[in-house]
Amino acid sequence: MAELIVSQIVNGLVLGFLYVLIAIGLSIIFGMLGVVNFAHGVFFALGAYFALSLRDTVGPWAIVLAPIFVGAAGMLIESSLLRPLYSKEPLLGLFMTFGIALFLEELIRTVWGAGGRPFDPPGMLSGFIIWGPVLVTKYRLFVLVLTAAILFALWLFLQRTRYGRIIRAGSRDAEMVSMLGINLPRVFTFVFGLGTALAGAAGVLAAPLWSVVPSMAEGAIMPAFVVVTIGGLGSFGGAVVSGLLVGVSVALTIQFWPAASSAVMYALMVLVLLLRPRGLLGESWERFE
Amino acid sequence: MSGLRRVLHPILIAAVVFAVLPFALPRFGSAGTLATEIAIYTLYAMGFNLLLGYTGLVSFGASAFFGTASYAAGLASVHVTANPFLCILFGTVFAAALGLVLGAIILRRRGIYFSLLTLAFTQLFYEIAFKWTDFTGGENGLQGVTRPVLTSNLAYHFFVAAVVLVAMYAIWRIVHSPFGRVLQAIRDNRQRVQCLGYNVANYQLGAFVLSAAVIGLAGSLLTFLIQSVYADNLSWQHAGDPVMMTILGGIHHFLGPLWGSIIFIVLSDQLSSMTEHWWLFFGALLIGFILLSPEGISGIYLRLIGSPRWTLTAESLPPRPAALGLATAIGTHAAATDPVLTVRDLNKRFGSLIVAANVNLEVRAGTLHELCGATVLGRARLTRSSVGYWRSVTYFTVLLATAGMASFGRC
Amino acid sequence: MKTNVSMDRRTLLKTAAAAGAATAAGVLNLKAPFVMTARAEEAIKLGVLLPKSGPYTVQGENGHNGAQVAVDDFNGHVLDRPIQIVWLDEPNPQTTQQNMHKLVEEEKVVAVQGGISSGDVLAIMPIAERAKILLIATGPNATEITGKNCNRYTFRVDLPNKVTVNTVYPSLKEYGKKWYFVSASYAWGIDAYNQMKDVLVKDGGTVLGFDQAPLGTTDFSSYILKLRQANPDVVYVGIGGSDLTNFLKQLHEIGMTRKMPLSSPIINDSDLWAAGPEAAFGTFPKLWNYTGAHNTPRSQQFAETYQQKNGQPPEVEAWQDWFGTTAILTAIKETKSTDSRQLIGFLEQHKFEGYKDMPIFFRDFDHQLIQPTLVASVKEKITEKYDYFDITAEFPKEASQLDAFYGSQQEIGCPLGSF
Repeated sequence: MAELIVSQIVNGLVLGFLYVLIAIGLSIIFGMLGVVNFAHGVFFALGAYFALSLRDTVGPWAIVLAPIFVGAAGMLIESSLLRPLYSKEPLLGLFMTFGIALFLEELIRTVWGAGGRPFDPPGMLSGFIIWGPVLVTKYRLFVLVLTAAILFALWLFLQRTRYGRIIRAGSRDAEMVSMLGINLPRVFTFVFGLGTALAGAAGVLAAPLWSVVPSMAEGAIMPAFVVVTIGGLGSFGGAVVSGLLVGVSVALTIQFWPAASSAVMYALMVLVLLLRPRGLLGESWERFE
Repeated sequence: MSGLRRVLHPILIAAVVFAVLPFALPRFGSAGTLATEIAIYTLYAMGFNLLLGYTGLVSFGASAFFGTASYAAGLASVHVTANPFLCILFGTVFAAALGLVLGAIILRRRGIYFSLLTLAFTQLFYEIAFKWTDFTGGENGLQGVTRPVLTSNLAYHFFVAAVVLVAMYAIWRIVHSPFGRVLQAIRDNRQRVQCLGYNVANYQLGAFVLSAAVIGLAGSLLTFLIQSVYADNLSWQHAGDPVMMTILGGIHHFLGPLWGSIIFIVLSDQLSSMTEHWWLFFGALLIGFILLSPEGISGIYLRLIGSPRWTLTAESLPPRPAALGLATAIGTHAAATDPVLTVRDLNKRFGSLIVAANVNLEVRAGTLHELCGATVLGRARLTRSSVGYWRSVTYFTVLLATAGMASFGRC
Repeated sequence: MKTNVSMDRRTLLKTAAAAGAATAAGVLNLKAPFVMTARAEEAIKLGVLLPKSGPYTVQGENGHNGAQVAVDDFNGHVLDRPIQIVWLDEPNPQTTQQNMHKLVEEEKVVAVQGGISSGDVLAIMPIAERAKILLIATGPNATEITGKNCNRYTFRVDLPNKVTVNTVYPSLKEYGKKWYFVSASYAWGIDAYNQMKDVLVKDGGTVLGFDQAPLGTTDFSSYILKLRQANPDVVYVGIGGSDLTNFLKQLHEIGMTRKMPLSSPIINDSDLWAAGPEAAFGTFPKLWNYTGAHNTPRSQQFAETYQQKNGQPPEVEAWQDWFGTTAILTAIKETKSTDSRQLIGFLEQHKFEGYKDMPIFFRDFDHQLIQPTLVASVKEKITEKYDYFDITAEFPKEASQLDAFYGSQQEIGCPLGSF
């Protein structure tokens, strides 16, 4: 039994890393633009579908190209549909992402069909490894390593580069950053593109694991919200910690009380919102209150 | 023109629309029963807009009350009494009570946290309703709800229309009352209302409960329209229904929910029979509306007739009250030497940046004080701190020495 | 010169008017659903309620295409009148109900068929009864539809859960009696578990474990870890749709594909196609399959026609709706009437031959379609894109056993009543 629990925890960690990758884009977008991106799940799905279409032509490069295309689509959408709304009522951005989510999901269904499309993991990554009490499949290990690498690269970017500093400052006080002479609209567009590209990357990685259907967008958006809320809106470290926490919680709940495994996410979310709304590692930013 | 406006009272317009709809819709190929659904969803969106347009609270929890009240009314019908009126009343009261409990919990948080909490609760309720098959019927729904009176579709429609109109009129009166005025003030400037001495939390809770009751009434009416209850309406996918209707109709317009629900319901009905991919058109429509007319169809209409403004309340100013309850003049009561405003031990810091440290200040009646400080920002922040702008100011007490006025406390 | 100009202007105005009229006509055409045309009187309208969006869109499309093939089989006409299919959405019970109203009151259809989700069908059955209109439920599995909630106007094509359990159990039990169950945690999934568990336990088997997964679970890896630990002889899942696809993909990931048999009460071809040839496996009860020796020439013809028109082979749902529409049209043709009572009377008595290798019929005391069922196993090696199944058995073996296979009148307990 103890072995099984250890395996579940490791499994939960891997799942958690995937959640983190989905959620981190949402958190960055929210921190910088103040927009709750309801369309985040659809960009996740787009990543999977782009990979599906690109795989036949460019092979393994699809894993790099698909997120880039998703990011490009995100930037296009931000500059055309979201930018006009920044000067207006803040709610409109939220409603707009809602409309975009509806539209894009149906677009996916129209272009790629409503049926699920098969997507296998690459041959060399099939099978699993047993390491003492721990059982983990090779593909999930790959996902874990790659996700960790992406997150580390992102962290380096945000902490060590000038552009990253601008993004962090802009999350705190966008007005001040623009007063310092930085072209804010361009930063916003880039950040939105970055966030959606991260969602797309998560989609590519998840495609061999989860079925590639248009409704996969919905399977990603709620966990993303939960993770971002628990971790703290706009907090990088918070998203990582809470993603892993949620992943492990879900895995352990499946072990002992499976029927409640989705309800446990929302219960955690409610608990955090009531007791410590800024999240585990979030800061108390007045603009959210 | 103003005479015409007075005649065209929004309730009157709504009454005409509800009366005409069941006959107009079939000419366009939609079922006549859709008219009743439109009336119900108008009330639903109106309850939602009480929070959004009037109080400034973005709640995704409307569907939680809508669905829960539907179940309450349905379960009462199946297990307790076949009298639909009693069941509808029960559903409404149940929703209001639920609103009281949930509101007390959720309203402790503000802004985006409030919205996310409502979303989480909605999803929790959906999970419960969907899984508790023995009680709620699960995904097959609660069957066996009967409507022994008002059996014809048309009769029930006029009953629903009457109830909705009465509820709309009640809302109209409430938003013009002092309570409603305070709600709108809270939407516009929360801090100021708080500093004026109103208990904002109580007002918001009142709005929340009222909204829940209205939405609950709508949900209960729905139960007897379709004579069954399903968990669908509780899911987060449907939490967006009243949001979409309100945007399409116009957030800051009293009749916005009416036009929005007509557009939403009729359009989705027509589009879905024409093409499989009707969500494409719907999504595009929503995007178009938000970009071009954030105030929805009401916004377009008002711009066309040349008076772009909000129509949440009547255009006239409310009459001046005989006596203003809350504030009393201080001039005649304070002696010249007594301080009117005392600030003790004021500290304010942003991280490691200290803006104010151990500031003590006394302001006497009829005197002028000059604040000298290193920066403009510092002085501004001091003033804001003094009159309670920052919530997180610590270690300071403000005493306002006037007769008959309680201590300001922390606002 | 002047006359030329005025002539030009006149021509210009004429062409403008013509263009305007053409656009208006075009607009009106687009608005055809808004405006009732007089032509509608002579067509015989069949209402179809199937999903156009959401998780069951594929089944909806298949069903609609299948119905269309049936209409084409009749050359688009019956009783010298054109047949028109009116397809309205089935997204959730509430809207399906409204659409049922629309079909009955506005479109004035002769009969309605469809319904993937049992909840939706239970919602429209009372309307069919009140409006006295024939309803053939082609897709739902809930027992109540031909059980305690039955009514005289509703017929059902798809298999009730009990029949699927009895179909597939004999094939599975030879692998062992220690079973592991995973079900979606809502009424249908739990019912699937209960039905199979009863049969298993009565036969001396044991339940090693039973886990419920919320509907829409994307990641079953934790469930699979538990399953692997238990090491069962058979895995029985009450999961469908993309959840099942996820489950199969993740089983494959951990290398458990084909390690033990897998089964479920229903299977949609598209769920397996989505899992891919490597991950798809299992032994399932199936109402019909487009390949296999059991196929009669008529059904085979249907499969070929469908493939020609739609570019890929039909899923089982397509056959169900093809049969449903054919049944309605046959009834209309034979009774020479569109009155629902006459149609119902016909359907209660008629034996449909040539669709399966024994005559099939709607039973008169519960309106369930009595038909043989298949046991379909996924091929070891899948070479063609859509050809996934081998048919390993058919139940029952003799036509005389058909009726008992579906339960006696007492067991069913359907209070059918009169018109």
